[in-house]
Amino acid sequence: MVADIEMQNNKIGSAIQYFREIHHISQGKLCQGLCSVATLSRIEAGERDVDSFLLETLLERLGKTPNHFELILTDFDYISFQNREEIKKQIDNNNIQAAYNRLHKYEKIAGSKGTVHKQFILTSKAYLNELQGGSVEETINLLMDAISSTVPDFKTNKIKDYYLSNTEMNLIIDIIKRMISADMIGTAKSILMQVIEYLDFHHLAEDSYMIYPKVAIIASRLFMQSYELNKALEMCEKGIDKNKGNRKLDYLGELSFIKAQIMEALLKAQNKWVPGHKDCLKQYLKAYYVLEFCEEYTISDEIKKHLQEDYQWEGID
Amino acid sequence: MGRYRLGDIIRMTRKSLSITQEQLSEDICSVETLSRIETGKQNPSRDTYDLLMERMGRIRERAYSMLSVSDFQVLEKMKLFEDYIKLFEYEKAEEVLNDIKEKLGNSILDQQFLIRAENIVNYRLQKITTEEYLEGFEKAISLTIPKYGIISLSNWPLNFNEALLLLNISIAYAEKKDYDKAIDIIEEVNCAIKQSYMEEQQRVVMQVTNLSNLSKWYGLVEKHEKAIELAEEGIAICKKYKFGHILPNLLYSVVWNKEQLIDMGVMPPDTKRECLNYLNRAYYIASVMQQSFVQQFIKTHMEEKYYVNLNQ
Repeated sequence: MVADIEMQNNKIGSAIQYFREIHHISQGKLCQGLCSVATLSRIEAGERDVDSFLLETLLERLGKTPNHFELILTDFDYISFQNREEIKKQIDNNNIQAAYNRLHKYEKIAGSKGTVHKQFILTSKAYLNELQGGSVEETINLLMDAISSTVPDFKTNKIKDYYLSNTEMNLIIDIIKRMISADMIGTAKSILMQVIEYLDFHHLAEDSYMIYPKVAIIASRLFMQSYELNKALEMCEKGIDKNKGNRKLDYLGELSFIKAQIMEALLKAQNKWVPGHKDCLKQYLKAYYVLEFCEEYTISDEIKKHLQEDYQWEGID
Repeated sequence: MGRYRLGDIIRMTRKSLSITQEQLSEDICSVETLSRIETGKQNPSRDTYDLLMERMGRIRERAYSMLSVSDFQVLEKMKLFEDYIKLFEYEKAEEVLNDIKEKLGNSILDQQFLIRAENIVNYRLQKITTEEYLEGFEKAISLTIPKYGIISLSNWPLNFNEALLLLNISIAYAEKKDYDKAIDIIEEVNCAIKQSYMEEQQRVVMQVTNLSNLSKWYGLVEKHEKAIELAEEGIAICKKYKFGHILPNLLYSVVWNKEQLIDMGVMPPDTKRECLNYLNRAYYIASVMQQSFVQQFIKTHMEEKYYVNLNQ
């Protein structure tokens, strides 16, 4: 590194400008839904005391994940950070009342301090609604309000025009999942198509391999249900491919299983399937060994039974 | 420009990890200095700040508020360098390294990176001997652990880069066929990283890598039971964290050591069934992880030792 730069200087503004410019993103595009262009200009010029959660979201939209605490400048930032951590913890531990209490406290101090805070509050409310058995529709509404607070024209098919943070992306995936369980298949599908288009179009996020396989699972399942088998296969293979270089097995078992099912269905549709078909068998075995290792016994037992019955395969023990 | 209260960042990070000032400051600065830094009465030097944050497992590339544009450019090149090393492209790595050298500063962490990087490139391009290779790494580690070689590292709060360097050192000993020394070093590292403040993912990845190497080396010095035990420990960690990248190697290590024990008459011949089961898993998991080299290796082993033809 360049020797002894002045340590206390806040360099975050020039970092944001640097990453924005190397990716050729205009100021207006980056800060849509977060702050005004004038504010972003001031941030890039190095203005002091900017809300750390706004900075974090800007960096995340550029595909960067900052270290905890390093963006925190003011007491407000620190109190917000503590409140958020506490709310997340209480939600994880299923303490609904305690989470609500903290959330009200946080809402009082941060509710009017910008869209990123509003988004966090609405998202927490959605998860809490779910935890206490509220309707799926209500959860979806809250999540839609949450995403719309930083992506204002979310409902008008414009996801691709944005640069989204992983937090925003995961929020959208959560909405899609709930829509599917509420049988809103058409809407879910149209949002999903936008997400896929977005992921194919933007390659900013350092950990996009964490997002893509998740989306691929949802999409290939949906395509399978509507018998669009070739599309389903394409999505599934893309999901597996994007996982290359990732050390985790998380989504691979499920994706491999879906792929095996699609291959089998495709062959059957063409009347080319015979009992014990070699390629299908191999694909099922890949899925079986990953799922069994990850202790997903419900699916691995299902595969085992299927292989014994339709493939006369006894080689698993 | 707004001014960051570096003391606050250090204090908040330290508290979130529940470490005392004594534990954090050891061999970096005095407790009194750390205390003054945390209360804002004194500014830390760049080295002190970097070393404290590094010990607490912060990732330097993510310190966006601390780095300048030229730092980002250097860090991007460093990443490119590591990528070439992973791909065994040493000439290209050397080119990138020459470029980095012109722009690199002289902080302790920069020097440590530079010595390690030059060492790897020079050795792989056969410009230095194994001895010199080893000396280079030892020089690099002494920059942040001056007492290296004198004290046991079992209780040292190792950071990720130090653990990586020690892994390099142990591999160098293994290349010299000094497996006992290689094992000693990694045993110490494993002990140390269990209580370090490394980020959890980094620590666990390091742990399974170490277990895989240890298992291999224990096998080579014919301590097969120990080798199996360590590989099984690694497999258990993979199960917990759903790691697939090193799983085929660990499964294979169990098999290879069991085969030796079968040949020696220590294990009954029907253990082979179990081995074949492990090889099957290793084969399919390597295939899902798109590790074609490992997959082919295991396939050949199954054909030659077990007369299994996976194409049928």
